[in-house]
Amino acid sequence: MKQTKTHNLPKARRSEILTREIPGELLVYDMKRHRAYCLNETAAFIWKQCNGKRTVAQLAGQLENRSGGSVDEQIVWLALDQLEKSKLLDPRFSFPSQSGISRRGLIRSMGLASVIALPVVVSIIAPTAVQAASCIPGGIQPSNCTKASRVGCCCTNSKTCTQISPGVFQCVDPAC
Amino acid sequence: MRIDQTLCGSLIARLLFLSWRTSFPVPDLSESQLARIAPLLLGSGCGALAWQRIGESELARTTSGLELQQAFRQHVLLSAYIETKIEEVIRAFREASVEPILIKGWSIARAYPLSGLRPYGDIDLCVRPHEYERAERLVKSLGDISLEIDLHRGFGPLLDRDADDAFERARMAKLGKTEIRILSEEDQLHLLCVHFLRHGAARPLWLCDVAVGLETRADDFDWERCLGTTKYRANWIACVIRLVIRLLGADERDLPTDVREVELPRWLIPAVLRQWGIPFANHPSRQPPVSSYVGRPLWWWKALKDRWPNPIQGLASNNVDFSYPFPFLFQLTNYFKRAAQQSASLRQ
Repeated sequence: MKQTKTHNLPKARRSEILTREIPGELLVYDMKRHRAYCLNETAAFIWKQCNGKRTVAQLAGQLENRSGGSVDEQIVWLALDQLEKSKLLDPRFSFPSQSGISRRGLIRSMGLASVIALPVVVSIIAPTAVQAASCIPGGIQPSNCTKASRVGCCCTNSKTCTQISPGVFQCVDPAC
Repeated sequence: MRIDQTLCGSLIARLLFLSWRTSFPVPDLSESQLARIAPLLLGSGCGALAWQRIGESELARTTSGLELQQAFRQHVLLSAYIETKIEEVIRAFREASVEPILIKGWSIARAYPLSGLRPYGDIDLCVRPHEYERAERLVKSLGDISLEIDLHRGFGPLLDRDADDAFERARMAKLGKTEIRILSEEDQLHLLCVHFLRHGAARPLWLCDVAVGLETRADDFDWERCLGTTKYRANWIACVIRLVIRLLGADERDLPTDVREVELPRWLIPAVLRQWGIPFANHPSRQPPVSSYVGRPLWWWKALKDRWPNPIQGLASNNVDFSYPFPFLFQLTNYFKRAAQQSASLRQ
C-alpha cells in the first residue's frame, strides 16, 4: 500500500547527482550514468520540489505561488515526463500511463498562453576531461606517460607515449 | 595560409578581450567570423570565455554561439566534478603526510569570476623533491579515481627558485571543506608566464590566466620576486605582461618600471596570433611519430613543417632573452636538437 503511494509522488534522485546553478539554468550531472542535463528554470523548480511527499497538484500549486498566475497541472506532468526520461527521478515513480494522460498529448495540448516558460530538460554532452597541454616541447618524462591524454606525446627518451594495454601507458617505439 | 592563421588569431584576441571580467564591451565580430574561430576556441579550452563575451549579444543565438554555450555548461559541470576529486586527493596526500602544492588548473580557475570559465581536466601537484617517490606510490595506490594526477618533482623549469622557498611562501585556498596549498601570487604569476612561453603560446587560455593573475594580485604584490632572479626571466615575464595588456586589454595600472618600459620584440605579437590560429591539436608536441612518415616521402615536408618551433619556443627552450635579435638561430637550435635526438632513437 505504502509502495503504491510512493509511485505517484515524484521524488528527485539525489544520489550520485551533481548540480550547479548558472543564470537561468540548473546543470545536472549524473555521475552514475555519466550524463549531463540542463534544466530551465521551470523544470529546475519542479525537480527541486519533488521530495516524494508532494502530489502533482501540490507541485502545480507551488509553481503557481512562484509565478503568481494559474498553472495547468499538465505543465508539471510535462516536466516529470522529461525528468523521468532523463532518469532524474527516483525510479520508483511511475508515470500514470493508465490514467489517460498521453505524453505526446500533453505537449500538444499545452497552450502557448501559459504564464510560465514550459519546462525543458536538455541533454548536454557529458563533460570529459579537457585535453590539457600535457605534451611539452622537450618531451614528457617517461614516468609521466601514465594517462590517455599523454598518448602521442614525445617522451624525453625520444620515444612516444603509447597505450600498450588497457590502462597501461609506456614510452615505446616508434620514436618521435 | 600564414595570413589566414594570423587573421584567425587576431579574431580570437578580439573576442577574448577582457573576457575574464564580469563586464566588457560588446564584441565586434560577425557571425561568419565567429563560425571561423569557434572550432579553435573550443579546441583550446576557450569556449566558455568566448560564451561569456557573446552571451548578451546577437551572436549568442547562432550555431557557433550555441556550441560555445554548451562548452560553458560542460566546463561548469566538469569543474564541479573535479573539485570533489581534488578534495579527495588532497585528503589522501595529507593522510600520508605529504603536502603538495596545486599549480595551474583549479589554482588559477578559482580566481575567475565564474566557475567553469576556465576549464581544467587534470590536477598538477608539485611535491618537495625528497617526497616525490612517496607521493608517486601514493598516487598509484589511489587506483582509478577518474582524475588524472600530474605529479611533479618540485617545479622544474617553471620556477627559477628553490622548491622549499616556494613551499614556504605558498598560501592556502579553500575548496569546499578542504584547504589547498597553492603558490604565492608572485610565484603563480611567474609560473603562468613561463608556462605560456615554454608551450610556445599555444593556448590563448594561458594568456587569460596571466591576465587574471595580474588583475587579482594584492596591493603588496612583490614584483621583484615575481620577475625572478635571472635577467632573461625578468624579460620574459615583462614581455608576457605587456602582451596581455596589448592583446587582451588587461589592466596596466601600478606596474613596475621594468615591465612598463620593456619593449616587445616586433615578431612576438604576430607569432602569438599565428599560433592561436593553428588548432591546438596540431601543436608540435602532438604530432605523430616521425617514423610514420618514413614510407611516405611526399609527406616529409609536412613532417618538417609541423615540427618547426615558433620563435617563442625557440628562445624559451634555450633560456634566451626575448630582446635577442635573431630568434631564428634558436629555432634552428631547438629544431636540430630534437631532430638529433629523434634520429639517434630511430637508429637504435
